[in-house]
Amino acid sequence: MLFYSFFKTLIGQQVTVELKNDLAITGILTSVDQFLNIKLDEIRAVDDAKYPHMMAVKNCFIRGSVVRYVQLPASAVDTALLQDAARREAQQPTTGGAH
Amino acid sequence: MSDSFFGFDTTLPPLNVDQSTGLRTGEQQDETEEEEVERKIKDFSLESGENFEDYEQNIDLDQLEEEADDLNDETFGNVGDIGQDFDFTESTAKIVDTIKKEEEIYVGRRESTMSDKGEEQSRRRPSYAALWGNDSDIIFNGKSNHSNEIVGAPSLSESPISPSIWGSFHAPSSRTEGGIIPTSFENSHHYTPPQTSPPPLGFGPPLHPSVRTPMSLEEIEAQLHRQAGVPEKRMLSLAEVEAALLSINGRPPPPQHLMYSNNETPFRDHENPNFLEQEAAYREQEAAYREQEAILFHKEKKRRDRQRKLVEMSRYNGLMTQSDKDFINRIQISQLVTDDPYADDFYYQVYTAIRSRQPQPSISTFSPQLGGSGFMGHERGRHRSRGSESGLLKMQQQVLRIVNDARRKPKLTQLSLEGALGKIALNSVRNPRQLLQVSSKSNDIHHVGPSNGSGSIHSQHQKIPSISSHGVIDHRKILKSIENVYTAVLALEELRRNQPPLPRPYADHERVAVERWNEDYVELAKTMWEELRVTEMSGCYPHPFISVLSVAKGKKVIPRVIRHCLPEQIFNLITVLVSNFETLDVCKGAIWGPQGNVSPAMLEEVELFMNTVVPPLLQFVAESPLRIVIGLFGLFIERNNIVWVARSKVGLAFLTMFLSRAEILKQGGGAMQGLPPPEELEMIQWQDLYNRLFSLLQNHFLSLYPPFMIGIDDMYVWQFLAAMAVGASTEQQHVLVTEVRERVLETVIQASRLSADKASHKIANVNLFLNALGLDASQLKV
Repeated sequence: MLFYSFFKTLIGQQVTVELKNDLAITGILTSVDQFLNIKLDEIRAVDDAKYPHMMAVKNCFIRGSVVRYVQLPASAVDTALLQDAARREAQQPTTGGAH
Repeated sequence: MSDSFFGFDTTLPPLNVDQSTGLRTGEQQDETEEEEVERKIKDFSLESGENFEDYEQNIDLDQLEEEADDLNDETFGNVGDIGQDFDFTESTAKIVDTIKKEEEIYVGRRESTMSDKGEEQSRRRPSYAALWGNDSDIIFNGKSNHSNEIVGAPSLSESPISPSIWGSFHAPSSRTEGGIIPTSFENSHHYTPPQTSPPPLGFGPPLHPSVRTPMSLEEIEAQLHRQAGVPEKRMLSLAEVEAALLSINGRPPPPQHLMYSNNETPFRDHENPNFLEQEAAYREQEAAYREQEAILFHKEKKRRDRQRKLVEMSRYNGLMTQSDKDFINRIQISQLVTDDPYADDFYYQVYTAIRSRQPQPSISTFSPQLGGSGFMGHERGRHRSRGSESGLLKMQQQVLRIVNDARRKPKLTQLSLEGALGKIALNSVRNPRQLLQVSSKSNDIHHVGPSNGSGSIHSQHQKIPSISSHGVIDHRKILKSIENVYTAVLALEELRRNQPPLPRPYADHERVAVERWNEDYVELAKTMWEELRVTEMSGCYPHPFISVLSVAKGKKVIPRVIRHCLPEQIFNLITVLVSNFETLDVCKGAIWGPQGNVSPAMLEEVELFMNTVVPPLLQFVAESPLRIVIGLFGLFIERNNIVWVARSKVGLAFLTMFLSRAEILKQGGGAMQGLPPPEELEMIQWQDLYNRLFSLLQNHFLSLYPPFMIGIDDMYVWQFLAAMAVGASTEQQHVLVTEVRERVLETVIQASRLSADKASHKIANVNLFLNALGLDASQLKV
């Protein structure tokens, strides 16, 4: 749940989502769910010359499983807190094997 | 004629109250109107020079007859006596059913029905009836029109009877008397504007008043003309009437106007060049209209599109009931819900708390559906309106139930069905399928057995700058203990967040809660302190605590640890640090050689140390009495090769810290913190220590600087020298100046070659030292 928790804090920030089909989309993160499905607004393909059909698309829903990377704004990430959150995640008794 | 008129009327289908009253007023109106008509005819005949005498006589005759009211009853009674010419009702009554059926069709194609005259007689009426009937309905329904507007009144009065008026009165008269009709028509145009102006008021659909009403007028007129055989030019007069009507209406419909101007302009262009200006005006207007139209069209199109989409979507309205939706919601929420948001949603919770500084809600859910942020707390709920609050409350209760359910039956990770081969893994968001299966058993073997993974252990040792001569301190053990420190710190921080309120008197359970909390807290703080290994006397080298500080995350945890430490513990910590200072990685690894050989990674570590470890210790020292400062300072000089340590940035920072604190206390700065002024003995002890430090560093002051041209900010050195200079005697100051004179001059010369802001920084650095001596860089002559 750490990633879900993390992405929730990025709502409203501009992110670039790189998909497994090499399409990279920059947009404002509007929502994310526990499957890390992503909704973007005001989107723009990073390489619009290669994907002209994306010009007309203004917002999109991205299934979590097709995401390869998400480029984050560094200023919106609290790395120290992220470390703590990871520690807490690791500490949870059920996390050892199952959770 | 009027007889026939009235006789005609009596056989009409029974009128309702409104119509009959309208009829009566209509009669009166007619009388006055006819007088008016006579007068006008006279005027007209005078103007035009035509002789209307015959007609007048005719009318006079009519009127004479009409004046014989006493015979009216007989006349009305004996319809049959009057010639069949005027008995329209009887002929129409025969085909009344067919008329009614065909009424709609006739309305649709009125013009085409007028071809045949014989048929026209019978058909005209129904078409009129349809016309008038509709309109009179509208008028009667809109009673306010009738009462408020004078214009509306005549039309109201005329409408019920006008079929008979126009059908029977005018038609025969015009057939025989030719000229009357145009005159009366023009008159009517004059004195009864209702005939022309009412249409926009009550006739037809309000959207296109001027489109439909002129049509009906034209039609009526055409029929009249056909009957009367009036020359075509009267049509023009009606067109003029129409134009006047449009202008009276004030707001002609743009499309029609546009068409008009479109057709007109070319003609005018050719015929009359004087119209150029007008044409330009037309063009402008036209452009404006076009623009407006385009905008309107665009808007309309958009609206239609949206409407269409809505309609499309509304097909699926009501496909799911509310309980269906709730069920789906529950499925989603149950995946996200947690009884401990800090455990499962730690990052989000703390992040938002840090960013927004808002009070933490006691219960929270993960769900993005609940409120924008997925928060559902008492704090927020309170500010909401009642309706949404009750909704929230319901949701909250539901969430609580889900949480409790989840607690009662812990989630299974695997399911083995009877008779099934193998197990079914129940993967979920909380329990994702594991891609790596690392068994903890083999991990332990690797960890314990020294022979088993020695290679990797060695490589780890090369990474950390530790001398493992006495007793091997496993780097992993250090990392493990740092993680344990973190665990304890996180637990402590969570305890702090959940600190129970101060117990009220006589509330035993609250007192017990506070006591338990205190116990937990002390216990955890003790664990943390032990894991920090400050007091560990294992005899290994370096000290375990120093090893902890040699790791970046070990440095980072210090400020958070110190918040949970007692003052004695901090003193212990700083004592251990000071006495083992030269084994610190940021000290021994960050000493500048003549060539400047400190790695960038180490510089980062130094910065990290300066930003994390130094500030809380500086704060501690800044509140300490001189006794403690002397103790720590003495230990620092005693246990370390001070000339060597002072060449590191952190070493110099510690020296500066002690020196400046001692100076403040010497000058009575401790009084502000409630500390007693330092005793004589302490002052002497301090002076001894200072002199010792000075003698140790003498002839080495210049070596404290990082290499000159390497671009490292040497402010900390100037700060140290300033701290030294403040406490120095005159001879010592002289020694200081002599030793660093070269550096001062170099810096000032360098500054003169740099840009303004860089130069001022350099000069400011130098001035730190020079001002402590009572000098200034501006006094220097380069």
